[in-house]
Amino acid sequence: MAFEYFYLVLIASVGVIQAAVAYNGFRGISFFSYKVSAYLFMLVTTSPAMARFFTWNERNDTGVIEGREQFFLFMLAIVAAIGFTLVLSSLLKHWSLRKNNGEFDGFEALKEVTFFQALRHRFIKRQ
Amino acid sequence: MIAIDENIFLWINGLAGKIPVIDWLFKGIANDYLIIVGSCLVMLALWVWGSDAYQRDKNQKAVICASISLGLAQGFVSTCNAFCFRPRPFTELPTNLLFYQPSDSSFPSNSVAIVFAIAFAMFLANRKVGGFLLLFACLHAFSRVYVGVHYPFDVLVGAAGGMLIAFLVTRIIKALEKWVNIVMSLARKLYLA
Repeated sequence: MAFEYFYLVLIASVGVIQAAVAYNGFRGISFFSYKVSAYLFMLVTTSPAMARFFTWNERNDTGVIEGREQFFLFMLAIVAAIGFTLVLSSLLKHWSLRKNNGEFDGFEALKEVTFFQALRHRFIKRQ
Repeated sequence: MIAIDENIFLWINGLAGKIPVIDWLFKGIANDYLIIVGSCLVMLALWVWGSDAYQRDKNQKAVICASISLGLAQGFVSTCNAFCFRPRPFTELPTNLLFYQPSDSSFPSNSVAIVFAIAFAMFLANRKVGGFLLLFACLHAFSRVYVGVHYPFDVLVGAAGGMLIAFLVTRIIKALEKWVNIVMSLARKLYLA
């Protein structure tokens, strides 16, 4: 039950992150080149996960996860979703964005470069 | 007061068990995960949302307020539970129970306090998103009574407590804006905000 909760939150989060970053133009952390692909991705990840939450008590009659455990699992899933997004998007977009210059601070830089390119730019190239 | 609370409960819960589709809908909305996880996913999306850096900064501060409010709302309910135990309505009254039987205190509603804390913190910063979340929070609160696991007074106090906490947290974060900005600028340096 705890594992089911964890993976549902993880899948739903990855979908939501992809749709949100695509809508706001953060090419560096998007898996896709087209916004519509990201919206479709959310549709096939977040919607089924939320449907599973909706029917949770039909599958787990007496099943609840205790508050603290739920909070811990939720945070773990969110951190995993963010980590997964940053790593996969950096791998997928490395070549297409390698010539860009992430000269902005914060998220703005991720419109032009991947997360790891931005970190590299800050901590290695500026030295 | 208790009699009024019980009468309202009996009236709302009396609506259950008549139309299967409505029962199924409220059972889904009443569960402990759907609305809470949904609200948290909206917070996650809002972290990267905004037409410019200023708007995004405002949204991110709202998400920080909502996250702190969520934790404090949970603490508020735990504190209330330590001092007062109210049995669930299905143990005291004839109830159309559509849900599993929770064994913890009915007063105040934990999940309602949490969803209202998140929704109201968002509402104070972003009326559109907050209004949308408040609508779902109200539906969740109603559904908890409908399925027979809470009295109306439990959800009212949960909602009021959650909103009060969100209001206070937002004011405190505003007063401590200088320190919050330092944390945000550190996160910005790591491209996380």
